[in-house]
Amino acid sequence: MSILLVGLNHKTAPVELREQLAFSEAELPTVLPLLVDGDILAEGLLISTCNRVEVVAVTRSDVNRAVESVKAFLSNYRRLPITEYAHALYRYVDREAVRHLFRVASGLDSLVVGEPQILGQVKEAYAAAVRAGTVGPILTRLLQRTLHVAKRVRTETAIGASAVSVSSAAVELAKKIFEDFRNTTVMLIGAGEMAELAVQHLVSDGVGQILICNRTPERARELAVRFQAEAVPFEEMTQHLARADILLCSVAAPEYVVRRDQIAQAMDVRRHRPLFLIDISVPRTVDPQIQDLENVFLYDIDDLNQVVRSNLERREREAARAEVIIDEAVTEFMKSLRSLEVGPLIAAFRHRLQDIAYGEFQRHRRRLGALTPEQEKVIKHMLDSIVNKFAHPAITKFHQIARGDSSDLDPALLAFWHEAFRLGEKVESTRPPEKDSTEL
Amino acid sequence: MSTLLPGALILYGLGLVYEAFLILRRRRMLAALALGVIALGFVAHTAWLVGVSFRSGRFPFLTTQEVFASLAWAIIVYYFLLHARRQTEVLRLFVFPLVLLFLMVAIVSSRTRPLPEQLEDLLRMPALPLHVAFMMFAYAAFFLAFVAATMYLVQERELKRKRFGAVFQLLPSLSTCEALSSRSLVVGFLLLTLGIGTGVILIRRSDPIFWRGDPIIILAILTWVVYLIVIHYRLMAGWRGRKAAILLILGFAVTAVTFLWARLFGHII
Repeated sequence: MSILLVGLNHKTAPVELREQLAFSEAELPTVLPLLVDGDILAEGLLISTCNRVEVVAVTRSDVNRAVESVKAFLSNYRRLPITEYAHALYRYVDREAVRHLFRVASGLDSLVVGEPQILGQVKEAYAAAVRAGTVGPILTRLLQRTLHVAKRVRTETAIGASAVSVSSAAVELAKKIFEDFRNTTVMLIGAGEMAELAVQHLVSDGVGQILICNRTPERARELAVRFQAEAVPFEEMTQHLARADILLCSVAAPEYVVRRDQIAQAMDVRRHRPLFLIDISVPRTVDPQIQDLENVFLYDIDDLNQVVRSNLERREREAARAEVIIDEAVTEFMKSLRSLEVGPLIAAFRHRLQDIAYGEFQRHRRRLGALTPEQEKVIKHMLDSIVNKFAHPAITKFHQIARGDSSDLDPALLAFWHEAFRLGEKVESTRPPEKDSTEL
Repeated sequence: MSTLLPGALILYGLGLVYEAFLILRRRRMLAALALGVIALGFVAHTAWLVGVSFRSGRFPFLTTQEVFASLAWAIIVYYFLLHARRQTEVLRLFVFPLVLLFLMVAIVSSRTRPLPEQLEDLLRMPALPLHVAFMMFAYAAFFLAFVAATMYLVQERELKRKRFGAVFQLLPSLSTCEALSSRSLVVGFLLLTLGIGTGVILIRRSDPIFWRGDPIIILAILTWVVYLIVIHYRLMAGWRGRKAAILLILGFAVTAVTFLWARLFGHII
């Protein structure tokens, strides 16, 4: 048994390829049972987002055969010859597969490091597989662990803490000036697409009042209706400047639309309460000299881009810390997985020995003549005792292997035990029921 | 008894270090532990003050040791009454170092102080504890206002420079800093006014001539005038942001300097 992860992502495959292999959520209930036939793959789920298509599975047989079966499934289902995408595929087994899944769910493998959506997508993929009945004990355990690790990464590192787009960076900065947006007024100068985007951001953060000032009054009114804002005629901009706590300027104009003297005057009127000025127009339409005014914070598009860049760098640094958390979690998970594997082996081994002992007892029983219940009890006790003493060193060793963190459980070792003691075969016996099988 | 104050110091120190670790490393584990350790320190601190009061039969505010231990206590009480509910754990990183410093001063400084006999009457007046409490909490409030104003200036500078480090992420927004400092400013000023009022009554009942020219009176009046000016500019002239913060910090500096001066040369505190 192995955990296998086969897939491609934004680093290995261009979007044209990714979209050809993608699966929609609606497809999953029909697709998953085809992928997980129970013969080669025992359990499986499919993560399909715009940046990745990945199959996470528990193999029953040889890993290479399992990989071939996943490829065959993708090719057949998507009618895409394997040669078209083989170069983009990666495969991870066991420890590396677990690590990759942990990294994906934590946003470390994302295009924008630390983006939060991927966790939800992993959750959905898992839920779909649960509904389709293609997850078993191992994937259940793995996915629960994955969600836990991703949550830990999110709370213990600042990987998703800072804004990585211009509009969210602007909102983030605004929050460092005004704690609570409910009492703040935003004024838009220019009502282009950029401004619209920014307003959406601000509205979702609960901004108090919105003023829209645009050269074409129709557009201003249209937006005003949509965002329950107040339209201000372009000619009256100056009178309304003092009302704004956040001023967002995105107009195309050859000269400065917002001049220093206008803002200086507005600041007097608003008694020098802080003013956040964002100029996302290129060329700039807010006089850069305004930056010298006290309690005015002017950011142009370059400043915001700089913020985004440094936030991305910060995320990279946090990602290094996240890798440490993931490392720990992978080791821990592999350990718990081994005990999951070793449990049935130990049980099978004990049952086998008991079967043999009780089988022999049964065979020779008649020749012993009539036994008193007392005598029978003593013999059974003796059989159990022999089995236990015989099994004890081997079982202890198995537990040691399961607890140790040296290497993964060797499949060859497993195969050896199965073969040496014919663990799969049935033997006629009067072995007592399971009561003590979990004793050790 | 003698181990209570160092005990409180150590517990506060541990609480602070752990809190700093939680805040700086963004850990959430056992966040209550830091508060628990600090609370334990506070119990030891309070027990010490109560013990001293019982032994001497008066409010603990005469020796250098008592003054600093009481001030540290007032700052902690004020902080937890007014600020702990807001999301300003980071404020503790600024408040507790001063508390630690005060306790250290308290531990190493003198335990006795020869008192002029004119004070004997005063110490027996029932209104004295009230006056002392007003003054202690006024200073505590001014200290918090000073901390918040400093945070404002640091955050403002970061926003102007447009380079954001760990400090920027850590500090609250400008509006929060401003709200914290102006609230504490007003509270402190009200307490100071009440403190001066009760002080005047006390002095008139004891021996007015004895007090003539005592630094403590100059301190009180100077502090009151300074904060009156700060409040005037803030509320009446509408000074906001940077200038208001600078003014507040200057006000606190004047208070701190005169406080030490009064402490060295005055009859009481």
